[in-house]
Amino acid sequence: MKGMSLKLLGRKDVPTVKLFATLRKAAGEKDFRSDARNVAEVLEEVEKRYGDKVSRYLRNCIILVNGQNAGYLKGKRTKLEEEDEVSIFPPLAGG
Amino acid sequence: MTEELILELEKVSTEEGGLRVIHLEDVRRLAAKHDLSPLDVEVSSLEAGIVPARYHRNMGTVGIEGQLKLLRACVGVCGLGGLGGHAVEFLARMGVGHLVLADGDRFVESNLNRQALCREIDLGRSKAERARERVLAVNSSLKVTAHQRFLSAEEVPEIFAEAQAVVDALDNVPSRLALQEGCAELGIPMVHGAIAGNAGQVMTVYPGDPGLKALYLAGEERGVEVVEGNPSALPALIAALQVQEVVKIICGGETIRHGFLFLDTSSNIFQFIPLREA
Repeated sequence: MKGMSLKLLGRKDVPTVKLFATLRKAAGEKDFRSDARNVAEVLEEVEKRYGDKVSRYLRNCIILVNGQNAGYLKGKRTKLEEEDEVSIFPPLAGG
Repeated sequence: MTEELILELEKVSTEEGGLRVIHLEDVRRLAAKHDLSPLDVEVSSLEAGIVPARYHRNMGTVGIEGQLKLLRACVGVCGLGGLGGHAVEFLARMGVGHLVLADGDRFVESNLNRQALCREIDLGRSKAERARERVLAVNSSLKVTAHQRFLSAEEVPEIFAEAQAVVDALDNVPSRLALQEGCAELGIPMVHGAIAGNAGQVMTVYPGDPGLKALYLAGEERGVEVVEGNPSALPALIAALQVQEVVKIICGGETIRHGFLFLDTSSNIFQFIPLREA
């Protein structure tokens, strides 16, 4: 268990965070495993991992938890369970 | 349809690829002779099982019944820039009988990289007028109603009153949300498309669906296109998918609903993302 966050103890699996389009390009990777327990912690982790080059887009992103829009759940307070999948998309609005 | 017209249609039709077809020249001649519009002649022809040659390659997918539905349909296109310019072209070639087009903008040089309707000689010209001209150059049988103005939320139901579907080809979130509300008021679906950089998305929104409200929760006016721009081929790609949605709405088929099709050519992603309201 060395190197693993305390929060992971007792959890069989951890959520996967998938980044899309602009976010993927800025991060330089498409996904990562996270020990975040809610959406707010995912966003904090994104900021910590990638800094401003990615976090500057986060305010307006679409965040889906298992395909369900976090905005219709509990927003940033939406809890994450083992094996949950968090997808983060930048908003596209050009025509 | 007069018996005389049917007989003449049968007489001038020829067999091509297993179908009876009629050519544009004959459509025009018979329309003039019987004091009908070319669209009327094409409809009568299809009803008699004779396919206007221009729609020969549509038969394998929509068939005669589908083509009749398209010719009798009215479809709106709101926004005539990157997405709208291509959508108009595809809808005209598909044979949607009546197109209602709206955009208050004029062409500027930065449109040249991706807006199919914009040629160098069009700089400064009205996008709505140019779109009308293009539709009629491609398919002169169609009816085109072009509005050279930006629509307010209140105007949407009036402008698209006859439409069975409206293509959302706008470039900002508040206008898109207003269009969705207007379409819901009319009880018709809206086919959303948006682009930014190498990514794009498509979703068909029926009245009562959360639709764009599930996509643009932050209420920002623009997306990442502000930093990513819009490369040349993306509008055509997304507009093509939007027109395929329109065809399914009119002719029948499973639309991209309760979620959006997201694509990103830089990562080779082409994926349906479900959107469920809690």
